Formats: sequence, C-alpha cells, structure tokens
Amino acid sequence: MIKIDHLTHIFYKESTKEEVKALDDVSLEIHEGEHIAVLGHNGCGKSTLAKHLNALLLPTAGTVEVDAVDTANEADLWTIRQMVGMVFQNPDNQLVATTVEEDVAFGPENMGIEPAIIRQRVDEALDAVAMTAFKDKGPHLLSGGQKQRVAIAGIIAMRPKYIVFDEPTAMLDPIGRQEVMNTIHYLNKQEGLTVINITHFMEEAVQADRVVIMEHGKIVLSGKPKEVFTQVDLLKEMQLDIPPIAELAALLHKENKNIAADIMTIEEMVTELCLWK
Amino acid sequence: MSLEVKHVTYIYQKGSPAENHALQDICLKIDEGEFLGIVGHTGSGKSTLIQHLNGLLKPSEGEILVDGVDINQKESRAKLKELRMQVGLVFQYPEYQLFEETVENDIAFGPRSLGLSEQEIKERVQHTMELLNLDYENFRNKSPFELSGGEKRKVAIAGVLAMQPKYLILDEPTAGLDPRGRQEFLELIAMLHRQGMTIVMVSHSMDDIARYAQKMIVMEHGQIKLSGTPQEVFSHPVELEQIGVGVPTLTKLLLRLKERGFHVRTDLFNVNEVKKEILTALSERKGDTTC
Repeated sequence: MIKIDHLTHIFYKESTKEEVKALDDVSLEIHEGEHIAVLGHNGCGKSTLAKHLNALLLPTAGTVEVDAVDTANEADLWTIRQMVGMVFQNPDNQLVATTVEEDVAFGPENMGIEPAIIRQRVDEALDAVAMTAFKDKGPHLLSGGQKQRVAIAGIIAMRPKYIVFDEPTAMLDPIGRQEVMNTIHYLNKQEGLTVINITHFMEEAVQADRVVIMEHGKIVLSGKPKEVFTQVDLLKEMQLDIPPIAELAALLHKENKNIAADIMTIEEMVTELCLWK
Repeated sequence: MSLEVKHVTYIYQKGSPAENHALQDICLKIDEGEFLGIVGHTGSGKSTLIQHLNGLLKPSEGEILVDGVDINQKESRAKLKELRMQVGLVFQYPEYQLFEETVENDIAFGPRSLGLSEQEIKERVQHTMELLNLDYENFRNKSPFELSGGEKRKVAIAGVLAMQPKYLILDEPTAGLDPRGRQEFLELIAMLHRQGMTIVMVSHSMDDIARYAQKMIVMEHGQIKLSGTPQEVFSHPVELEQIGVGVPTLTKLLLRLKERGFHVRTDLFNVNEVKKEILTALSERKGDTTC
C-alpha cells in the first residue's frame, strides 16, 4: 500500500519570488492491485503528487509511505524507486539506447542484476507490452504508441509493484492511445500491478477502479467512476470534461427517472434503454 | 474567394529507395468562411497536405490556388509572401516555436517582418492578445518561457493571428491541453470562424469535428477517402472503422440503438438532440419487446 498522509508541498517560484502551495494537506491510500485515475487541470497538483510517490519530490509537511517505507528516508531511496516506477508523457525523452531490448535492459543493468536474469526479465517485459517482435529495432523507427510501450517495458523489467503513469497518452494519436491503455489494463488485471494513471482523458478514467479529482492542490472528489461522473453539475463547474454517455445519462434521467443516471459506456446505455423500450 | 488544391501529388525523397507518395492526386476546395475538419490517422498525409496550403511544401504535381492564384508559379513569386500572409499555419505544439525574450516581441515578430509601422505592430499585438484573453499590460514583458502550457500556446497562436490571415490552418490545436484549455481553444476557434475567418482544423477527436466543422475530409494513404458534411461522412461508420478513425461517441450509440430496433436518427451529434431523439423513440415504441 502507498499511504499519503496529510501531504503538503510548497514550491519556491524563482520568477515571482513567491511560495506556491502545490499540494495542500492531501491524504490518500492506494491499495495493491488497484487502478486509480487522477484527473484535474494543469497546475492542480497531480504531477506534483505523482512525483512524491517515488521520492522524486519530498513532502514539505506530512508523509508518504510505500509499503510502510517512508520516502523521506534517504537510505531507502533506491528501494522506493525500484518499487514505484514512473512513465512520463513524452516517449522520446525516456528512451536511451540504440535498440529496443538494450533500452529495456538499461534499468535492470543499473540495478546490478546478473546478465542471465536481465535477459529473462527483458524478454518477459517485452512480451507483456507486446513488443517482442521489435526487440532489435531502433527506438526511433517506432510509432509514438510503440515507443511508449517500450518505455513501459523498461519500467516493468525493474519489477516494480506500482507504476505511476503521468499523462502517458497525451502525445499519442487514438491508435497509440488505445495500445498504451490496453497495455496498462493488461499489467493491472493480468500481472497484478498497481496502476496510478494521471490523465486528461475521461474515457480512460471511466475504466479505472477509482477516480480522484484534484483542484488547487487538494483532492476535491474521489470514488468509483460511477460515483464521480454522475456529479455532472459539479464537474461542469470545474470545467472538466464529462464522458459523453455519462452526460447523456444524466439528461435522460432528469426526464425519465426510470433510466439510471450512472451509465458510463455505450454498451451499458444500450442495455439500459432496451429495458425501457 | 477560396483555397484550392488541384490534383496535388507529393512524393518524399523522389528517386530514392525511400520514395514515398505522401499525397496522391488530392482535389479540395475550401470556400472563404468555411470550417473544414481534416481527420485521418498518423501518416495519412494530413500534415503534408496542410503544409502545401501556404507554400511550405511544393507539390510534385498539381497546383495550390489561393484566391485563384497559383502560389507556386514563377510569375507569382513576388506575390508569394503576400499570399502566404493570407494563410496562417499553426503547427502542432506551436509553443515549441516561441523564441523571443518577451511575449510582445514574440507576437510582433511576424507583423514586424511585414514591414509595418511600430504603431501598427503595437496595435495588432494588443488586439490579438485581447482576443486571446491575455492581458496586454500583464503579459507583454513576460518571458514566454515562464508561462503555463496553455498560455504559451496562446502566445504562439497570437503570433500567427497578428499576421491577420484570411485562412487559418491548425494542426491539432488542442493536443496535450487540459480539458479547460481544450474548451477555451475550441471556443476561440469557433469565435474566429463566426467573425468570418476560414478555418481548417486537423483533429483526432471526432466529437470535436462533429461539433464544430461544417465540412470534413477523411484521409488515408495520402488520399481523400470520404468528404462532405459531418452528417454525410459519419453516415459511413463501416468505412470509418476500417480507416481507423471511428465516429463520434453519440453517433456510435445511436447506431447501436438502431441495430437493436430503435427508430432513431443517427446523424445527431448534440447531446440534447440525442436525448430528445431517444426519449421520443422510447415513448413511441412502448410495449414493443423486439430488443
């Protein structure tokens, strides 16, 4: 479990010489095997929160514990970084080697793992992201979605328990986005990895176990997708997107109370409307 | 007045083993005042096409006419600069192109290169910043690099708008923005369109295209596969699925409902219209259990 307890983070902004409270007394527990989506506008503190999960940033106040290890404890830094992997927005900034498999091996090599075991881990990691066929290719020949999957393989090869994705699909086209989301689901459901996905895409959030919405450094809404996305008026007020089907469900429910308001997907909507036909 | 693409073919690295037909015999007419959406996935030729519209790329075959003048003709060379001014092109992630020390200088760069008076330049910068909700006094002396992502993109777009183009071409203008930024930009583009500007927008979002565009084209392998109003184009869901671009979410729902025996129109995109259509279908067919 990752336990975030009354976490506050204050930045000193050089340009304006003022202090900015990026996180304001945030508490959150992330359980093993969970898939959490974190939503909110730019500047709401989502990425700052993410960077606390593997000690890239340390709390100004409060604590973050990964499996009961305090991230502020410098001696445990590498244990924490190994447990919590991070995947960032721009795949081009995350690939370092000249072939796909060398790139995936980079992390485990730095951990001082035996070559035979590295070989095995790289093969497994590439298999998990469905990129085995590309192992000898240069990363620059891949599409955005493929590059991002290689970046994910590089993290998996270090055998983390938790992976934090910081807008992993923001720079991808719809096909690339789908590839990466399929990979994320596979890792969560089949490999049992805990996933924290920071995103602007509501259709990704709908697929999570839990949705956390942040604003001004605080968590303002948290719950199952059905609980969160039925609060249409509140979401609109925050100028967040509402999944189109959820918005339609709310409108239909207003006119006809028989129709459930907590419908998120096309399939659910078709089934629901068939009931009342 | 119009932007016209006539039988344009473009070949990258012609004569080399990597020869690649990025565009094949494209014909397209964009009338003044129109809002055209361009969709198609990565590699379909969208970006190559729009780079032809203001002369950044020259067609291997065919011609590009801006208000009836072939922009690549030798005789129109002298006029090329003027013609390019008519066509403003906003690239993907335009904020990567910011380079000046202050916001004001960055936006003024284009107008200054036109040889306008300092007074005129200042007026244009001020006007454009107001249009984009960037407070002139507050932002003019800031470095573009200390701004937020959304603000940077506004400054980059302001630089193009300050050239006062007649035709504005945007390559995925909302990519990477947060929901608030996306809505703000789409509304801004819609407003420019209402004020008479011709808009060409490349987008991966069928929902956005359905909502804003009057006409659209779907590209694949350097060709236009489908074109027409969004209603017309989105009435070909099977082809669109094959091309890999899909249809708007609500269209998909209406199509599925129709398959299940609901009497619904499938050419509606607005959530309120779709709601009405579904409620009407429900009330008309009450008691029928063919579902």
